[in-house]
Amino acid sequence: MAEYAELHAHTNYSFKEGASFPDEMALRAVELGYRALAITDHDNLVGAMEYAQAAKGIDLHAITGAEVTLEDRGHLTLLASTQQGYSNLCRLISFAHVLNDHLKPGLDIALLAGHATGLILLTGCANGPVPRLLMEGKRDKARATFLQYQEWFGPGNVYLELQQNLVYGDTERIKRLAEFGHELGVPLVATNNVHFHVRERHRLQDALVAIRHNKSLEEVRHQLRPNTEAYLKSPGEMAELFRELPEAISNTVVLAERCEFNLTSGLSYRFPGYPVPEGYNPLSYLERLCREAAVRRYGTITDEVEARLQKELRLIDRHELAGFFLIYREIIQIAHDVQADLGLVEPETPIEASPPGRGRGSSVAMLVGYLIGLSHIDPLCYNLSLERFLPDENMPNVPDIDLDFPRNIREELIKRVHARYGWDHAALTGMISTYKLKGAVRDLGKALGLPSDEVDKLAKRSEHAPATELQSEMEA
Amino acid sequence: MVSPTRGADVTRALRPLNQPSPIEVEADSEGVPARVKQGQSWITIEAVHDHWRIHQAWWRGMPVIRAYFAMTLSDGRRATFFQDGVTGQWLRQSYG
Repeated sequence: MAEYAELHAHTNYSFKEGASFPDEMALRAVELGYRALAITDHDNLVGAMEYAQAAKGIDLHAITGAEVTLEDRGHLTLLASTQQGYSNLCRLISFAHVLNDHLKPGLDIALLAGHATGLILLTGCANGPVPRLLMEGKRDKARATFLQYQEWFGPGNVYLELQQNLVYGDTERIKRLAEFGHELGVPLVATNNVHFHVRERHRLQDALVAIRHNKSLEEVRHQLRPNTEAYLKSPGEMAELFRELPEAISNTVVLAERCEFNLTSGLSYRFPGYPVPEGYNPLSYLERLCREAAVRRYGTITDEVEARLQKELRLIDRHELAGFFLIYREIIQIAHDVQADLGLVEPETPIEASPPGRGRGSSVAMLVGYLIGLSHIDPLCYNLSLERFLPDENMPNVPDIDLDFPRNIREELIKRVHARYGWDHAALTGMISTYKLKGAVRDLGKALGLPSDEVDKLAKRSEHAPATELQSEMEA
Repeated sequence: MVSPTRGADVTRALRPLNQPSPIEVEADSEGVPARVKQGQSWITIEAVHDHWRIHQAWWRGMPVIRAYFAMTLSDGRRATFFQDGVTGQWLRQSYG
């Protein structure tokens, strides 16, 4: 049986372009006998962890990558083979959004030079610079471009990407790329530019494109895929498509094996340190701050306070969290300063006496939290157990501390946190909106070109339910 | 209004360019054309150079589903045929 690894696939996190969830892609890949699959969403890694976790659960080798859009709107496919490669990919995607336009990202190609280590480059779809130049007959320019990629990434890390989606022009493009590859002695790799996990999902993919353009399918018909071939194909189907270039198929497996980076285990995250005054380390400085606050809180450090403090500091030291808590305290201090500047609190009031935020969840069980202003709940008074938040054994996850700040300081606090840490070290987390039934009915109705008053009537009758219930709602 | 410089017959003579024309084709077990009927005789297909598919307009009552083949006939001529995925009919049409 042919062996093949798909190295270019989009999930629904290629927003309004990909039509399948990461777990659908992963499950289908395993059903088809794949051992590896790369998800390469457009200009983001939003679905990368979700995919990696789904793949881990079913013993599929998840390769992390992205299809990156260049400033000239060309595309390149990048795969992370090492942690350094993943780090570089994150930076490149960030540059594409920050230095260009976050709604229409575009990467300055010159930035690849300093961020190529640990990445494998595939020359992209029909819109890749090299295939485009070859189809325009600009062979010398294509050669120069390809050699530049090799200089940046290393000769063994650049592959010519061949796609046969049975679209008019694909055969000629493959012919030119293969000749080019054989002339230069560079490897070829086949991909299918997957946009949905099964063929039947092509209708949704078309509808998503229409929704993206806010038009009907009829109005955007020239921008839709010309056929339904961009589904996750079986290794046998791919081998048949490339029967005259079997190396393009076998190279996918070679490449997949080189991509050793695993997002679920390869990040080796370390908690941050903290710049402390001379004579201290983060733990001893945290202890000093807690002792000073404990005297203010309790009048004296009782045996009970001392025992609890020692226990928590030991656990904080064990899990290397001292810097983590000091950063939280700093943010709380910034929030306190904002409150003081707005006249909401006296500047000299200690932060633990009037915490600007409200801690919630299991973190309020910490005495350290109570003393650094993270929480307004005295855990000793309410006999709160520490184990749920800070266990003695290995912690499976990063401690989850939720801090809510009042609305009236939010805007200024956001600005000051960004100013303190820098715009490249602080960010607002994005929210991904998902369809409710009403919205799905309206958008699909418009895409299908249905009369707007009929769509409105249907939408109003729809229950307040997730869009996943659309089918049962229509049958009802 | 400007009078037409040619007679009214010109209007009736206008027809869409590159209209596909039905042909009779025998295909192999994989659906690839093997020979085509021309007049009373059959011409063998020497080689198939390219194959592409169209599947569009599924939202209309009649989707457009076609499997195209660009080929060289045994008499040296080049031709493009497609099989209609809805009716199964084979048609000839210039492409590209």
